[in-house]
Amino acid sequence: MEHQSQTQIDAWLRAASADADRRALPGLKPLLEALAQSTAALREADRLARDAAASAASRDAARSPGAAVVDTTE
Amino acid sequence: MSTADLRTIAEIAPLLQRRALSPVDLTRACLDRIDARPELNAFITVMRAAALAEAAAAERAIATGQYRGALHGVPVSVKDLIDVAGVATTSGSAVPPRHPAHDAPLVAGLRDAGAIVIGKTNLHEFAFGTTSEESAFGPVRHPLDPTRSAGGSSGGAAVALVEGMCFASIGTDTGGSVRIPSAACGVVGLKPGLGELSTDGVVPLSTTLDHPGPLTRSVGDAAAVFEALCGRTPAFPAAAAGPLVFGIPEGYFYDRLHPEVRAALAAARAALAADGHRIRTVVVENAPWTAPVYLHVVLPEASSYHAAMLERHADRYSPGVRLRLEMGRYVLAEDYVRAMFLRSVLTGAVDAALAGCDALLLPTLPIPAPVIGKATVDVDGRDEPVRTVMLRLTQLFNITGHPAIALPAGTTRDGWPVSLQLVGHRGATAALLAVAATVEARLGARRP
Repeated sequence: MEHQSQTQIDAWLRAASADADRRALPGLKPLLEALAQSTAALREADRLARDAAASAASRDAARSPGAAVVDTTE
Repeated sequence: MSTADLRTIAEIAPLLQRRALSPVDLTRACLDRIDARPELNAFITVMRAAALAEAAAAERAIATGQYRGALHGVPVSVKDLIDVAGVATTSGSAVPPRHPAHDAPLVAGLRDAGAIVIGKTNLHEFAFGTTSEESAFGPVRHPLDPTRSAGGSSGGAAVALVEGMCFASIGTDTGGSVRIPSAACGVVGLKPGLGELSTDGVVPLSTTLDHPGPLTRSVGDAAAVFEALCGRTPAFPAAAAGPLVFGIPEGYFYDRLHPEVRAALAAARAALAADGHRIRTVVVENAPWTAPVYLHVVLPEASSYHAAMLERHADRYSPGVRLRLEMGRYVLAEDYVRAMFLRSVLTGAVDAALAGCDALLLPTLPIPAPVIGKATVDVDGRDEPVRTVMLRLTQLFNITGHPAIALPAGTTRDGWPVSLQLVGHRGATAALLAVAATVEARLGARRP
């Protein structure tokens, strides 16, 4: 999952840098590289937050007898 | 020149009410101070004739018993990102300005309270920077040393206040732009809760992060101006009663500080503890996520507003501001959505840290005012980008919308102001101001 996300960011960075070249904005390229690092950090934070939310939901479901009844019925 | 122009609003308001002080004389004194230091580039537009006419009208009204309250006859300044009817809103840019026919509601609130709008202050272009050095009207310079930055983006607002050019300034804070210059210059800066003050008639930087707010010489003045900006009668707050509980969010907020900032914060904590207040270590979970979340919100929102102007007037922007706006055009929508989701996570984390506390207590700015033109700054032995360092301790509370206030907390050995920041519960700006009044009373207001 992490590898796939990083690959997507690499592809995005290549495309964005090429576009900066096309638009004659070379000063943008180091900023885009910094943004790529920040995006990687953002996506990792997002993954951790969603994992934590899913774990909490599982714990809540396990603690709740009502939830277990619904699961069984379905 | 009158010495009245360096007092607080709370001190001069009774003098104005009983006509011991003339609004016209006060306004002239402020105009003299503006004229005395043009090299600081604090103002973009000085509204000399209009301000004197408003002062004369205030004087007549007070003389005939029509006193409107604590701001009546008091000169104030407005960041040149906020519309004042009949005056160009330049946003500190060479991009064509807008020419508003109406006051922004914030300005209307000030006028309703009888305040005198003396002029519009300089800023980091379009509020997109922390040093106020990228402005089409010249860099805002620090009054103590013109080679240093006054902070930003509301740099002119802080300088105007610290130099006695007005008694309150209205700024905007998207990542710290009220609190950072307040810290650099040694005044009080309030960022209210998200959405408490209108952003109508304010040029946006980031529509979901922008917070207007006042810069003043005291907490009481900040409260009075905040009330006027809300359209209510200005009032000065009482200090919070009883022993207070301060949460110290160690880790992210205390790990990279100039040694003298660290020492000043430790002294402030000790002074509050000595008064019987409780100091408790707390944790803001996932605080290091702040910068990437902030970046992925502010960049696309800023670029969205500027997209059309970038097409027509790209060469009129400051190079650095233009590049930051261009960068926002490359942020993917899916990452913006991720950042907005993480905002809710961080908001819950700050709420949890505040549980059982009256306020969080942390530094406002990790460093003293930086030198103009430097891209990096030494922070406790490490070279770091100036912009990143200056935003580090303030931007989380724009993400989460908690009210926050910057207060003077002494100086370094060389006399540079140090500031502490108090963060209150969401929807409880008035309670935060009361806590801040208690802290200010203990630490002593530092007069500019």
